[in-house]
Amino acid sequence: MIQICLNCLLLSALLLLISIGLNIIYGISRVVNLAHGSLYALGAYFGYSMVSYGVNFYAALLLAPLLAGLCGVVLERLIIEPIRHRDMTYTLILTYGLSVFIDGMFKFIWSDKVQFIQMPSSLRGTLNLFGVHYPNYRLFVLAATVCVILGLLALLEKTKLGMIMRAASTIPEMVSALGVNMKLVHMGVFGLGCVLAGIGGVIAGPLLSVYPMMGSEMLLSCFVVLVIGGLGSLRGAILASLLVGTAQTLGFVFLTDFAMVIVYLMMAVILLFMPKGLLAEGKFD
Amino acid sequence: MATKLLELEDVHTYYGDSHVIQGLSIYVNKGEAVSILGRNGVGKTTTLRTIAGLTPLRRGTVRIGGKDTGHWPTHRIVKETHVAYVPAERNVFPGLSVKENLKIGEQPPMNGSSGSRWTLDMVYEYFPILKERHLQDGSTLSGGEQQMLVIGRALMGNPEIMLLDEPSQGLAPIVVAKVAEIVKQLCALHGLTLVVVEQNFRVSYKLAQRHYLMDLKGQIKRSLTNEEWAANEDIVKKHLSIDDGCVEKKDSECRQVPAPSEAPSGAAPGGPGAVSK
Amino acid sequence: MRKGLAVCISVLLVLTMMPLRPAVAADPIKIGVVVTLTGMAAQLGIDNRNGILLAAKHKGTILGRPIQIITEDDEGQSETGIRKAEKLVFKDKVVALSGVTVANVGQAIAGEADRLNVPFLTTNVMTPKFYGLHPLVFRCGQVADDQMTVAQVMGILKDPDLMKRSWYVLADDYAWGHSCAEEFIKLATEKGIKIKNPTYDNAALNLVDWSPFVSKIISAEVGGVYACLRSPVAPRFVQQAADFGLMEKVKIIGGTPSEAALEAAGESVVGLIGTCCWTWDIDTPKSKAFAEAYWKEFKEVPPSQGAQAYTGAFVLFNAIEKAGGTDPKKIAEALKGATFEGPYGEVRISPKDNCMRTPVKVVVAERAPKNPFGAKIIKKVVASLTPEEVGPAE
Ligand SMILES: Nc1ncnc2c1ncn2[C@@H]1O[C@H](COP(=O)(O)OP(=O)(O)OP(=O)(O)O)[C@@H](O)[C@H]1O
Ligand SMILES: [Mg+2]
Repeated sequence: MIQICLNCLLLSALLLLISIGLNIIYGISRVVNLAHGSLYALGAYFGYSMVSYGVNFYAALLLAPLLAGLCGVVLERLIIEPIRHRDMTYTLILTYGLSVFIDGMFKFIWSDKVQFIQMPSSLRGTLNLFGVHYPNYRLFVLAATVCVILGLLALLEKTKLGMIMRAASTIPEMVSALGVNMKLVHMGVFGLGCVLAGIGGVIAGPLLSVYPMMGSEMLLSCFVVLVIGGLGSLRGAILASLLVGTAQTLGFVFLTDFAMVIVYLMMAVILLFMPKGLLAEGKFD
Repeated sequence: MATKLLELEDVHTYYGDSHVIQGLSIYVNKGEAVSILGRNGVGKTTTLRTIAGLTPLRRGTVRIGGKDTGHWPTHRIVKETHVAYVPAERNVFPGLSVKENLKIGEQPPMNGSSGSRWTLDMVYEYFPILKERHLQDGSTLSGGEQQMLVIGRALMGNPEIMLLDEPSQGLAPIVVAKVAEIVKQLCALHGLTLVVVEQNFRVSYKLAQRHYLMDLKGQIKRSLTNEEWAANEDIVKKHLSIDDGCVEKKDSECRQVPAPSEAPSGAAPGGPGAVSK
Repeated sequence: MRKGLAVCISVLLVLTMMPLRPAVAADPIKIGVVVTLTGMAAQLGIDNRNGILLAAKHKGTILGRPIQIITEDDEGQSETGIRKAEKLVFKDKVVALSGVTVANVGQAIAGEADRLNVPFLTTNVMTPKFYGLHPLVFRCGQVADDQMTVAQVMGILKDPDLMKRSWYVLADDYAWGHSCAEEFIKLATEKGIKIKNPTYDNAALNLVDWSPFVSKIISAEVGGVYACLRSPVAPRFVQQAADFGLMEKVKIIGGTPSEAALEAAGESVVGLIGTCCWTWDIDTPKSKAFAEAYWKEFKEVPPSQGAQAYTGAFVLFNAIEKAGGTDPKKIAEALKGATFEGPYGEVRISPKDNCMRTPVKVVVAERAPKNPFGAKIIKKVVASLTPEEVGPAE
């Protein structure tokens, strides 16, 4: 029973970690970044390369996401910024193309092989939790996710930067009328989103393996979480991740592939009847 | 001789293809309060937005404090010239507390500015109600409180010029009077330069010393001082077509329009009496 | 970014220049190779292709003509596979098709055998549907699913420790997984092996987190797991099971992953039991020679898939030689009953059903001893089965 709960939590945590960046990029900049999955994969590949060249796992967990974030910033500048004032369709098409391009580059650089990021030996083995042996690494994933989310909340709620981001998510024009360069905000937010995706990638690497299509496969689940939780709602995202993670974990065991049908159905119902997500906090313009 | 702090010369602004401001030229002296009067849709808001760089300038020049800011991005204009734009829709940030709504406006004062530096406490002193509600979500405040909040937010940036768009919009008369009183005080005590757009005559009359009468497409028909207004009420009245305007306007708005016999002539120009009933 | 672009542009340049290259020699024997080089099965496809390329190199010439291998990527899609096969046959004028990594592509191409009208010898498709499918369709290199199941059951029977355990069956939730699980359960029950869940568990195809099943297995308190999982997926399951400490108590039997996948998964796969025709653990001169040659050519741990494709391709080359020309019927005739003494011993194509009979090894993934390939994991041979034991009967 404890184990099942932990299993549900773990998948939820992964979903949350990977989708949260997508969420804040949409929430603050209103950009639906279809390349988000690829940036998640990019983080995983950076992490993989670092660890296989002997970099400490924890150092890689810090560095690889930063590198992914840097790539994100560059991409934002080169590709998204120039078309920001256009219709959303442009960004959709462009970021989709971008994801295909990035996924293709993985094959060139890292080949098509399925790889694992070697987990640090300190996180191997299991921990006895109330009589249940649970892998240390999974517990680490849970803890890391909680830390990342708490850190993100602290950033958003407690700092001036966070205040600007929250304000920008509502009335961006007024933020610039208060002397803030919104271009920098958009760039920073995109970078932050990519850093978060990268963290997800490195953390998932030892568990889910690393391969070129990993991001595109994950993107769908991320969108499900995004829609169910309400586009741009952090609290909604947490709730939705728990819901989808639990539904998938239990569903996959009892219903196999039908589990996804249930999740999509849930998404459809929410889209139809509560387009702002479970907590009605979503930002639809 | 007064120095021109803000100067617009032959300004042309478009929304897409529609040519909204066609050759506007106005100026505001340092420390002066100026109002723009005009019927709905003549381009008053657009004028303020152009000054703040929110609506791009197509042709002409905008100079603030001697700097040619016409094509600067908004954030640069705001940062370097300390223009504060207070929009008619107020734009209180929902999801941010009252205190956060104030803090987000924080900016160091302009180099070489004389006035004292604005702090949260100073703003709270002017608007005690904001202190009372400082933890509340800004968007849950009443209209008047929100107006105070956005004025306070503007003050937190230590502005040199405040662009105030329809501060009385949607407020009860008694609240209007209060807001106007505070703004008047701010200008007097802190040497703030003010550009105000206002439908409510009494407020315009009270706050500003000089008035631009704006006609369609942002054309300035003439400029009046308070003394000239007092002497020629008809001009203003005719300019705003108050009589036929009243047919469309809501009753409440009409009542705020001064009858020819009352204010502004009955009160000392610029004196608080102009608003009091 | 710029570097990426530079790579991209240079690759494009290289690609566009390729047709300009002058033909190496006149009138080569062209062999079309369709393999999966994109997606999850790409590693198998690469191993396949490499094995065939190495066979071509070792064979040198057929009837005095050089061998030209033309490789195409089917992306794991039937339609693409057919398109690529058509291109190879009708445009490039290949005399035979080989390779093919995944079953759906194999069946699709075999379905077009009449139209394509060249011999098609798959080196990797495992579906039993290939038995006696078409006069021009052959299998040689990899064993069939039924042969693998037999070998796995034999593996259990030959090991008293495995025999006394009860087994939990887990299968990918689609046709192949189902039939794999059912075949195993049927055969195992016949032989007296205890099956814990005769209705077996289905795992959704896009499952990323295996913990729900791992938890179920732990609470079922079984001694073994029989996993019918697609080979690219299997290491993920094993890895996650290992995280839970499952490998210490439970033996896992499944289709063995590729050498590259084992290396990627590392330590955690130690103990995984599987079957294959060849591993570099086989200590015969032919096996050693192949392993060394493969390493020299590709600088990768010599893979089972590579040896299997190498074997299949060699049989095809020999048959073309024996046929004395490129007539499809004559090549097919020569393939029937053909034998070849290769890296893993003597294989033979049964004239009855056009499919291979071969010795099979039961192997366990273990930490590798010091070796020239730098491999961390070795597929250690624990039992050898003769072609007669593996079947099927003729
Ligand atoms: N975003 C916009 N896009 C297109 N046209 C606009 C836009 N905003 C305003 N306009 C048009 O530009 C003209 C000037 O608008 P503006 O808002 O400046 O008028 P205003 O004088 O402030 O009027 P009001 O008293 O109603 O506030 C109007 O005709 C209006 O319809
Ligand atoms: Mg207006």
